[in-house]
Amino acid sequence: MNDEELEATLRRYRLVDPPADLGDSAIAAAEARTRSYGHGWGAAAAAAVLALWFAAHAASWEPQGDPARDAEVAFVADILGGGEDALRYAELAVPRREPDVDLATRVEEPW
Amino acid sequence: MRDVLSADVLVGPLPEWSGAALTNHTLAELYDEYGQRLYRYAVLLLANRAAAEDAVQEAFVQLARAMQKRPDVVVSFGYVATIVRNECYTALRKRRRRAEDPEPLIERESPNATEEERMILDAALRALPAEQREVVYLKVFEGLTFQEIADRFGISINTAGSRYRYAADALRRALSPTRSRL
Repeated sequence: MNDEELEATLRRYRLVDPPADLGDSAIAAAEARTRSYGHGWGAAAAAAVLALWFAAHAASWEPQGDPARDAEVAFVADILGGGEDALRYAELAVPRREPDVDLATRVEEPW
Repeated sequence: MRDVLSADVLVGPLPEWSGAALTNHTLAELYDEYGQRLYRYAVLLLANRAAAEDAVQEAFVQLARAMQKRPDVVVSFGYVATIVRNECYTALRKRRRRAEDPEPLIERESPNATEEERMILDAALRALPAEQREVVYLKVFEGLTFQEIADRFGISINTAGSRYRYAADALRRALSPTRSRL
């Protein structure tokens, strides 16, 4: 039997049809899981926005000047004898104070 | 028996096979247009009707997600068939064991077909590796050439041809005792 004869033999048959309810069940599953997928992305997006907000504001605390601490650092550096090394030690020794954050107020701030 | 392909054959959306691409479609319209062919493709690839149903269902979930992300996506048969194909190979790779499917994969189409020959072909097709069954499907039931099969799946034309030759030899061997009796 050559290839043409074999193919002719195979074409005397056809692959079975899908069950009648497959379309309905596939579409129902797609719609249901797309909805839940969308909600999942919504939650993930909200979490990402929140994380970004915290990251942005945590970063914004850092560079803001703290005149009281600067004075303390200068005072400690002076006690240590002054100079760059003393200033570095003083920077390490004087703790940074985290600003009081009113969360509700911060949320209102523009990005 | 080798029935699992490596992941490198899982390719992205394919160019169209036959059938027009659809735009502004609903899932129901897509199923009406492509559902039967997709199921038949999955049935022969997986040699299991329940697994084929799962693959088509999961493909429509993925299709719905793709359409949700990009409502303007142009969906062709090749696009959806690729999703079905990936689902099928994922199922094969996970080696989900299922009970032997007693339901036939093929049915008689022409008056010349016999139940005995159908049963022999059904069993012989099940015994082939998945990638050989796939080439048989594409060549015989979709009418693709070896070159088209090679292009679509990123394999050489020789690989496509040899998969078909191995499958054809096995099917011929299975049929030869029947033929000698006919």
